[in-house]
Amino acid sequence: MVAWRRLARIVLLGVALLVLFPLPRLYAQPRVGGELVLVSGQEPDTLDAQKTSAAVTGTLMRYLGDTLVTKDLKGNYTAGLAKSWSVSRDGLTWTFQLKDNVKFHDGTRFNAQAVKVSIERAVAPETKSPIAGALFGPVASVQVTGELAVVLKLKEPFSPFLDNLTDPRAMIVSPQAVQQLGDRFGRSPVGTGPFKFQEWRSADRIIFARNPDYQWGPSYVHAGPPYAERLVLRIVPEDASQVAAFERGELSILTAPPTDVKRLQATGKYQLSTFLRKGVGLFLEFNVTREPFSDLRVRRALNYAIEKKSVLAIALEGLGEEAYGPLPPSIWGYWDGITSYAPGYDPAQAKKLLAEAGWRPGEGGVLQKDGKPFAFTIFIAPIDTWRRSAQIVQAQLRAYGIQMDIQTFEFGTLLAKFRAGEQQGGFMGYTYTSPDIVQLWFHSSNIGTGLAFSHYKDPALDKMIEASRTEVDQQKRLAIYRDIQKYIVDKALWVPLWTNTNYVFIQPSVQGAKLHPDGFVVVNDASLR
Amino acid sequence: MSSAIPQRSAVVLMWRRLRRRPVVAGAAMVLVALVVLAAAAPYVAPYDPFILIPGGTLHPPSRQFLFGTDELGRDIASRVVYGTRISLQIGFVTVGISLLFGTIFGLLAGYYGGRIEGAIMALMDVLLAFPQILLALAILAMLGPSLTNAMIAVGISGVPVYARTARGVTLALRSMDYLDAARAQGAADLRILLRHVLPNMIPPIIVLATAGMGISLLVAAGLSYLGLGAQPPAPEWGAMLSEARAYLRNAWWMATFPGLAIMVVVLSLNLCGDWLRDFLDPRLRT
Amino acid sequence: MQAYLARRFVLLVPTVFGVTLAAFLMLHLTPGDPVAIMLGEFASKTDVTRLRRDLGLDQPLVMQYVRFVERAARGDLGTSIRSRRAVTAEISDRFPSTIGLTLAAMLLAISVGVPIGVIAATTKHVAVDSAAMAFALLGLSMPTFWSGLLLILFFSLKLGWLPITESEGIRALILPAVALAAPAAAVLARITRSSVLEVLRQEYIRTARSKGLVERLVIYRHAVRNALIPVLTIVGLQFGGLLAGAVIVESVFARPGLGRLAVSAILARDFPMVQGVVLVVAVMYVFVNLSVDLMYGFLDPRIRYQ
Repeated sequence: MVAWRRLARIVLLGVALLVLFPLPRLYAQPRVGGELVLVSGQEPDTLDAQKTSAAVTGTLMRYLGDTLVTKDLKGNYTAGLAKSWSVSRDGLTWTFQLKDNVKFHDGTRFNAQAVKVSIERAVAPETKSPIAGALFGPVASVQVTGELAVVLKLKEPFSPFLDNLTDPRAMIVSPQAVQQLGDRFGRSPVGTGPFKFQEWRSADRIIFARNPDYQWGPSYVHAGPPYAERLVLRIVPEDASQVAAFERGELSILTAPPTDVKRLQATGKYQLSTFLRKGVGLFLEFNVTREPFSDLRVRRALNYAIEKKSVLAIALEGLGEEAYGPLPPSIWGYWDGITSYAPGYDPAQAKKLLAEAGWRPGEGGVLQKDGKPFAFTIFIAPIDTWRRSAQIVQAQLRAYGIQMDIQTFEFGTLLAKFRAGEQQGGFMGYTYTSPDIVQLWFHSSNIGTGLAFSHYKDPALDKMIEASRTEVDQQKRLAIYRDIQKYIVDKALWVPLWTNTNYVFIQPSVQGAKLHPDGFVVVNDASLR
Repeated sequence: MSSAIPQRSAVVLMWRRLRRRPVVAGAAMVLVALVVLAAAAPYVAPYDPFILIPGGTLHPPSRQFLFGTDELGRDIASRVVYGTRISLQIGFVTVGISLLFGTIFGLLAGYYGGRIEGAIMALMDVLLAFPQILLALAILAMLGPSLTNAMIAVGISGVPVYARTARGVTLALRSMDYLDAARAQGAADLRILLRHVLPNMIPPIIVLATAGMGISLLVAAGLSYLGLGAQPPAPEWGAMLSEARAYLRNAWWMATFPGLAIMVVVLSLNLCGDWLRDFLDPRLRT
Repeated sequence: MQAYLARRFVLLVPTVFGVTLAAFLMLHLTPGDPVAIMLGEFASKTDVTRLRRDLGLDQPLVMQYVRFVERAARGDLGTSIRSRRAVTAEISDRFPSTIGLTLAAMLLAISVGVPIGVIAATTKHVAVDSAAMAFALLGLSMPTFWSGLLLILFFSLKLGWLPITESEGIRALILPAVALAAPAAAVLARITRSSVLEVLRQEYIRTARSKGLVERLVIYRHAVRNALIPVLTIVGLQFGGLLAGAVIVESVFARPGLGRLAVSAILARDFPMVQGVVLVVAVMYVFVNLSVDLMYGFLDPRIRYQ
């Protein structure tokens, strides 16, 4: 009797629950609307894909623009704005068939002419493109062979070419907007992507709106425009504020600073994806044209002197890997022999090399040479993990009698100073998808304009880098990259410090966001509950 | 205008009055302690303020680490103690600059009058047209960020206040025919200024300097907080607070102790300043 | 009254002249070559010449100044080196945020500081007076960047009541306004207290009292009203202090205002931008002081005849 009553009660409760909380309809269409909010600590320098040197702009261009070729979620090349392509046997002629019915956000038609204008602008010297220009490498000419057919002629074979074409900074920009807006294009960019530019409120946020015409997305997302009504990039300089804002639900997606990863993980509330950053997260880069780092022995000595393990443990809470060379394990071309090849922590060796270079302990243990103390300044950007790492390195070097001062500049200013060669040394980090990054960092043609901040001129190294770009055989290329990595370690242009693991947290209200192997969130399929 | 108070009786009088105001006496003692701490920092501080204690990151306050440790494993108590040196330096350098130039400008303006006065006071009016931090920012923009430059900037931005006061005192003396008498006796300008005018300026300037030092400390620490003043690893209190921002949630002690240090010192300066004003310039007593 | 107004306006001319001159000279008083500082020492010759021409540095100093003022009057403060946008455009983007914050803090400071001052002056209990003044002293001695951090810690992080990174709306304004208002409220409380005490000692108050008016009426009808006139001047001065304090508070709360603009422009060595912000804030400050003076003249009849 009692048991029956209890059963009846349970059934009734079940019915009531079903009425109150109906089961989700299967195959329900994702809702259109809502706002996806991303965050960045740095404000983009410009939203002109071809003039930017900021990583955050690259990420934004993934949403604002499309590239001719793209990579799917497994990392395989797939159609972007070009529906197909072919390359001649000598690797010099690339032919692209373009998708039809593609429109720029300003309403103009995307066609072969637009591709021509866009690429020609990227490589033109007056554009002074820090990255985009180099992506196209040795492009000799862009020929329009039909309304939707383009032929790119290269001066020499260029093996990173296809990969470079997938870089967001290789996006095709609207020729009309570029022409009409001139210098203002960087504040109101026009592309063909799933989101279009709406507003840039300085130091606060950048707002992109859903592009309702978007039908030409790549194969790995649904056909048609994205579900979110708006994509917002909040600019919040401080990590702590970013985390707090995310926990209050003010942000949809957050790459958490190492200080808060464990706590966020412990809440169990958020979707989490992790991946090793594509690129060396932090390295100390020497300017070889300035004292005291014009001396190879000194540069090598610092490589032995710095203990990376505690830098990683303290500055990153251990959430990453120690770095040894110019490439991280997450980029194709990485040579795993580098960990034993590169100098490890060895104070005795460091002191020996310093003594050979003429730096001997003087009064109070301070290293001296010709009566001058060993003191230098590194320039860094106001990024928490950098600032912490800098102070740890500073304290470590102090034990050798080396005085390292730290000066902080805003990121954009920092790049300008490095380019001009004003620094003795400085901190840098990069994110890139292919080993061709070594061209940007080390080829002497990039001194003063690109990212060759060590200002190191070496025909032998230049030659190796050029070979890595013209070699089409992948096995031979790997060997060249191995030699480049060894060479750069030999010349001690950097003290590689660490590569961080990214912890990307996503709010439970965001459905269908996917992490791309190139380290960004694909939002076309993301909808908000 | 009260003339300079004879020295010994002033000290005795101050001491008597102070005994009746235990809070102010306490504040004065804090300031004395500050100087002692700064001088004896290496003996008082339990650790080297720059050394990273292995395995010692983010320890909460304990018997071993009185104020806890920071994100790099440095002892915060030691850093706060060494910070007294920087704060003293900031206090004296900034107020010294303001006082020196302010007094000279004020004296010259008040004594000579006419065009010199017009030019000097016009300059001061322009400087006063900028709120202090803004003026300091503008000067820093020219000199570039560093602690020394921040001190110079804060010092310059304080000049007009002293100049106005110094001019006021000089004008008051001039109107009393007191200086004319001295001049009639054949005294040289410089001698008159030094012997007759300057001593009268001491009480109001002391009052200004005491309160002004508090403001200078706040502004300079603020500039360091913004990254425009002291650079890492200097244990400057404002800069320490700036680093504590990332750890507000995980390590409350990082933001607590440097902040408290600034507040206690500025509070003591303000208390002493108020009291000195009442003591030296009874007309202003409220 | 009109003569007074006219006189005040005439007096304004040299100040505004001086302020523009000071902002203008910033570029020239900078040690070293500002163009080299902005572009870096290895900048190409053509870039240097172009920037010199853009900044008008190739002309005689007086001409440069005339051009600077002339353009400023037309609302043209040059182009930001960093963002390549018009300085005035950047400033007007940030202006509303800073003004909103400053006004909110001002209102808060007045509505807290003045009553505390009046209570402290008129209370019969020494303890209340001491407590009020201790409170004021505390407000005066707390660095805003510290009180701001503590406010974030308690109200945003621990209690989760108020937003952290939002920069729009009233809720986002509360914490920064409180942090910014504290020192100003403290100054106002102290000034109000001494001003009320001063008035209470005056002859006419004694007369009023002897006429048998109720104490509270004496205080509010006569004393407080008269005492508030000098307080008004301080309000004007405090406005400048608040504008300047916004520099720090905006950084603490990550608000996109003029202060943060100035700080980042300094770090980026973007001189036209720094000049622009300095000029705009200083001119604003001058005019606030002017309007306070005018109000003062309006409220205190004695001044009109001077």
